[in-house]
Amino acid sequence: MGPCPSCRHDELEWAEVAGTGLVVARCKVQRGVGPPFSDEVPYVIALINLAEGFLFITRALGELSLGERVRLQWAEIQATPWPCAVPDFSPAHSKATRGSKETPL
Amino acid sequence: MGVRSFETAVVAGYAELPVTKRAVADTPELLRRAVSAALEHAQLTRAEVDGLAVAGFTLAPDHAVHIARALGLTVKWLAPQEPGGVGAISACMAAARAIDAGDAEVIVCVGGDSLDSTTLERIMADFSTEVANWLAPIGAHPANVAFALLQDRYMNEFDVSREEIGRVAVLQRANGARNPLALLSDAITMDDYLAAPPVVAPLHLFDCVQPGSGASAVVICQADRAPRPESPRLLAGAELHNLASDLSARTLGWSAFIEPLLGAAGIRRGDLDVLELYDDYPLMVLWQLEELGFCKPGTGARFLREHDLSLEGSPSLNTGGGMLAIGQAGAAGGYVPVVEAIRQLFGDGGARQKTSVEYALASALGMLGYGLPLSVGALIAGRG
Repeated sequence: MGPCPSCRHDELEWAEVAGTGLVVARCKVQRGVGPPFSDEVPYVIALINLAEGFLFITRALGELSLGERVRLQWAEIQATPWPCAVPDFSPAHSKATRGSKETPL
Repeated sequence: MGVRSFETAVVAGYAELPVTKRAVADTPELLRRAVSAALEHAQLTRAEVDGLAVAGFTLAPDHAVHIARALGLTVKWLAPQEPGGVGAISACMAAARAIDAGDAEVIVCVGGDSLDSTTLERIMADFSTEVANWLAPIGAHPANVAFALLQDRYMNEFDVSREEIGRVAVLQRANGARNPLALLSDAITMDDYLAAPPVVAPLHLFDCVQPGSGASAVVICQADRAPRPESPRLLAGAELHNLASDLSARTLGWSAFIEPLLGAAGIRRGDLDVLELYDDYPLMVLWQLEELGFCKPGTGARFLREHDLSLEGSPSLNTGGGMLAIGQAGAAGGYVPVVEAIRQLFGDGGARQKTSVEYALASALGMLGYGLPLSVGALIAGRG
């Protein structure tokens, strides 16, 4: 991901984050993607300001409001070339699961 | 910040192939057709060319020298360029410097791609290491998702509606209706714009360019070498890469160089008759109006509402309809603003020719990183 965007220090280490943050922006992919994602539309991608202070682009679940607190879960998607678990965020207060009703942006 | 004024360089000729939905020829052949047409327009021959700048997403396995061979050009100056939106401006800047320095006498700048939907999908999923590692696995690869997120944030931060952003598309499609090269050749109403189906909401169909195949080329040489005395002069250019630290940025780079750039061209902002702004999405046209200093951040839509930027207004915006009408053929996309600026200065605009064009500005952005465009540039040209 390159050096630290604020100080340009370039010897970075992996660190665990809490997995919580606030919604900065969201969008809903409905068309214009190829396989395997064309079989999966619609899905939501969100920009999250993580509690540790950086922005993260992720899958998200359900209706998200700007500024809403969200938390990380993991979702299995059938991404090529093999299925894998990817970060997915949902409202911190909800018990929403993938497949619940999504509302339009 | 890379601002550069030019002394002797003119654009002797140009060509723009129509963007086609289906690939009608391979990439080297498209580039060859564009170069042949540009040289014919310039009234110069292949044998007189001694410099080449080339860009394309689909050149592999070829490199620049292989393209020189495919084009039948023997050159002493060879400059591979980034294929993103700024590549055409970078190519023209490099060529103008080389012409000024005497490194070459006649330089062809060409960009284009033969793209079908499968190839395009593969290029986008493998666009960069960041994209391949972090975005492609979740179905967030370029370009719609990144700009949908930018637009969602912009709309909420500045309380701007879809309708206000849609003014860009309606204006450009009206200009495109006068452009015989337009892939989408009909004008649209605001109702059409608002009723279009969502693609990546908040982006809807008429926010997105039609991908396709094509190529464009310009020929740059010293003023006294150009057969056509009306050849437009390249006055100044600037480019800036990787300025924004992350995708919270409100400044992508134009604001860092626009004042020195106008100064280097020896003009004031109000002297510009036409603005040709890269329009991968309507929001980015507003964004450029703001960063280029025509209005404050967040007020691009209001500026567009309060000023006539049509062909009858001043300045006129995206006179050929931009990529929203013409379509985007890979690396040829970056040539859309450059070629239309030069076309207007030549007076070749036909039904969309603006009267008495003295100065034109072409501006572009390109090459997505982790959710934000990494490269910006602008070029100012004047009547020959």
